[in-house]
Amino acid sequence: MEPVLLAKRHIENSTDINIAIGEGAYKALQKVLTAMSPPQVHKEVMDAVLRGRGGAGFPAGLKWKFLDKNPKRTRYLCCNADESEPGTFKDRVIMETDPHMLIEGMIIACYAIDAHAGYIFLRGEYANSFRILTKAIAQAREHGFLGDNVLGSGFNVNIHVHVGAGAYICGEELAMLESLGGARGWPRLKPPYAATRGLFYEPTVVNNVETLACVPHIVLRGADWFKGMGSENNYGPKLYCLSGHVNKPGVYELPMGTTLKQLIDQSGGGIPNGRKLKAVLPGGSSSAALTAEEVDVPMDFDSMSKAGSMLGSAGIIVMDDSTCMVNACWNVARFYAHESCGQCTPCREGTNWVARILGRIERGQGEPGDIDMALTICDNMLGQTICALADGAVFPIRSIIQKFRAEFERHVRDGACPFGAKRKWYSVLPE
Amino acid sequence: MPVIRIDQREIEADEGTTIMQAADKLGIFIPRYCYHPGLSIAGCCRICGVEVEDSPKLLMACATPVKEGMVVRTDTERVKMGQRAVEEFLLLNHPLDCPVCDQAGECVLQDYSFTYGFGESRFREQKIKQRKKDVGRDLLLYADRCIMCTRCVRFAHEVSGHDQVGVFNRGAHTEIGVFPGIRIDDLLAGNIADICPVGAFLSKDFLFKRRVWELKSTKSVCPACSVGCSVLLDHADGRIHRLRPRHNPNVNGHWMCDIGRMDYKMVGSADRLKKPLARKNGMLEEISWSDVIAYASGRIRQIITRHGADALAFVISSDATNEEALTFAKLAEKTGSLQNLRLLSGKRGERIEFAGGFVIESDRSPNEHGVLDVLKEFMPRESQERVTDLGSLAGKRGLYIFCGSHSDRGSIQLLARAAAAADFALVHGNVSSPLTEAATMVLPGAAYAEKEGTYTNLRGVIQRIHPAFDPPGDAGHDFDIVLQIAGAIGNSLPFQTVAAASAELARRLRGYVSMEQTGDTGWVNPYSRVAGATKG
Repeated sequence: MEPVLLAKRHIENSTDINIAIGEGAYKALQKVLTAMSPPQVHKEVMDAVLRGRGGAGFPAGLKWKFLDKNPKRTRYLCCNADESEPGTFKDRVIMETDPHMLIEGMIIACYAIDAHAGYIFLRGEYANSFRILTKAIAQAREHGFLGDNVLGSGFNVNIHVHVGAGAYICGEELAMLESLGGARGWPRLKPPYAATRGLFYEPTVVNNVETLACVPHIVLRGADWFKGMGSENNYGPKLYCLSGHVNKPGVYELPMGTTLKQLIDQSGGGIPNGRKLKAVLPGGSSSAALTAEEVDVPMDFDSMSKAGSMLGSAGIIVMDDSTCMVNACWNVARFYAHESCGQCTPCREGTNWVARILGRIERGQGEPGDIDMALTICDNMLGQTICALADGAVFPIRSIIQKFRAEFERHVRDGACPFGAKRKWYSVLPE
Repeated sequence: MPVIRIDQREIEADEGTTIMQAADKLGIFIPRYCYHPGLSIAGCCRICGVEVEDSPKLLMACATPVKEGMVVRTDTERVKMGQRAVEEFLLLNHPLDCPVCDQAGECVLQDYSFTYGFGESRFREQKIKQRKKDVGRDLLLYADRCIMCTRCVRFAHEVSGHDQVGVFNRGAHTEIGVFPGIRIDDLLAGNIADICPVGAFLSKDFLFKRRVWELKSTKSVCPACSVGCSVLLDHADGRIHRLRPRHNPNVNGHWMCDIGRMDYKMVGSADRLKKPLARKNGMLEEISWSDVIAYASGRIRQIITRHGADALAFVISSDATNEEALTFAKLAEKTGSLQNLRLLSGKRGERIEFAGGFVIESDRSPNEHGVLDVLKEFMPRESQERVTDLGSLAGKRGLYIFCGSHSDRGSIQLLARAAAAADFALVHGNVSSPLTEAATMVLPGAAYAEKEGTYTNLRGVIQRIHPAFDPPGDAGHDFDIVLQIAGAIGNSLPFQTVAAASAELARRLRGYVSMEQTGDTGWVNPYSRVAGATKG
């Protein structure tokens, strides 16, 4: 397919506004400001069934619709660019190769929801993205796309970039808004949702980078064009992040619903060194693992959830048969133990406990009963917390244990890792 | 109002309340750590999960508003499983040092472990240890006992408004703490130890003094300012070991201040008067009760016959209960000295208001309002404006002064000079002061923790105090002492008990009720000059 979101990826200096405009940037904005009312923009996005690319797949149009429209309140748009999910790096590519597409998408979204300030909450480690975004925003302001009276239309809008301080939890919608508001990044109790009580306790829409990047294209080419790609109810182009044991890791733009097998074998060029596929985490580290037999599944929201996993952020982590699944599981568990915010009891204590049990098993100190205990701890965490971080820990851990249980049992029985201590883990995390 | 069912029982819940509040109303107990009725909802401890029909997950009872037709179950296997899981998680990194922990016996974690817990641990890893921290004037933080309910953080933000407490680090290493150089030293800090459901925040003052199950609790009223917070006196063997606030929506809400919390020290102090004293050859010497009453009443009669009733003055402090003030005024009425009845005001301090609306009043004595109500009822109208004018007592031949431990220092000095100049000065009080030094005779009285009666606070709320134990040594009950003096002078009063005096008050004073009718939360006098209560 012809690239949409990555169209400017290989154009030199594509982050410069003049080159971007030459490639068609801000055309959609001109169309919106001259020929469309906010409800028309909203209707177009609604008709396109643009589902949120951050992981949950909630339709962006519905999100905008639920926003508190009380004219006395200030509305905000927040762009979630705290891309911290292991295995996910699609938003970075958008921000670093085509920042003006994101800025244009944000301006149009602000116009549609009657917001006059947009915030980009950027992952702290993305220093390069920050440099590029701030420059792009300054250029957009110089060209009159941002600021007061955008392109003479009377519409005012500003965009600010805020750099996070390195917490995975701040990618959670309400924790992000807490952090952005100056507080500790702890998820809030829901309801109320961000649509009624978001940033600075005002109505707020939070959209992912990729979601907002789709908006100018939908507005310019129409909802029907957008729906021409992908599968039923899962339309549009999608960025897939391939990493792990593939020959050609990277970000690939394909229509929604491309199968996982196709992605690994064709886009990724297969498994290196003639090895065999063992397992895949298809939607970032928070998704349930799929075995080699399960990979012939379309990568869209509904098919993936039917397959017992999720599309998530489409961060595909591929593992070949040299991978110790206990080690992989421990690695994932340590990440969540480190990133749990500490608010809810089950997540704060459970993630740490599971990580330490898995570490013991991997080091050959596991005991009979440890595996079942780890599973019951997972059950005790699942669905018991304010946000979905604990669920995100349980899905991969539980699925890996269930699907590769023999390997865990062998670790316990042999008192050692059958893959040998090839890799030394350097870690500040609890062992 | 929405009708909901909890465990097959129907209840009409108030609009906007939660499942927790509706269950409390029905008497169905749902366990809670982070929930505190005086603070905002956190919903983070996750132990109050209940099953709600049509909801796939357990919902937190503390954070879920009631809806018409809601069907809630608090006793199913799933709910119990959730409670067991949270109990197990909370104990993983808990040091289980109950034998040396002050909270043991009133620890929510300990109680729930027995009620909802497993009974044994599956945890075989190393526990995470955190250091004990000295975080305030009266607060120690044993961080590894903490269960991260964040009540302290919300309290410091919402009630005291000083925001010294915060959450640091992440995951299982999360801990409560304060920033470097910051201490929790505001005057509401003591409440943090109270609301901590475990032994993480402990009071230095109470540390290792007593096991809590050895303490008896007596309902009382804090005498340290004219707000009159409802309190519990926790005492054992005739000593108070600590004060705790008692919830009273009419007065203090859930809280009390540290001035009041530490005021109990006066009750057991070495300065307490324990024996009646009389001046012989210029020195105060111990004397028996029968002698002191006979001698004092004789001198009072003598002054009246020689110099007339106007040579006699009566001063009562704002520490006295309403009933004591009534007997005192009756005595002055009988001797014909009502025009010389005076109030000894309490100490004055800065009025402090906190972010959550809690107030420490500038009048730092318990009952100025009530004593004034009583005195003004008896005093002739023309002398009422002199009720606080102690200077006008100079030159009086005889003085009977009922002094209190919260009386104004300057006024005490003034009275001490008047007492030194008088022929006869009878001082009745519970601690030694310049006034007792200048007295002809000293009558040892009771402290607030030792007597019965009512106080009227600044806003006209009449509250009852109960005696926790007897006064020390030979010290007597003030009410009985005044009765005896009156009897010995030959003017028996029309009541013999505090209860009868209280009933008399209810008859005479507008808006007053007898002490039996005040209940635990006090009676709000509808005719009081200042309406309404302080929030807390």
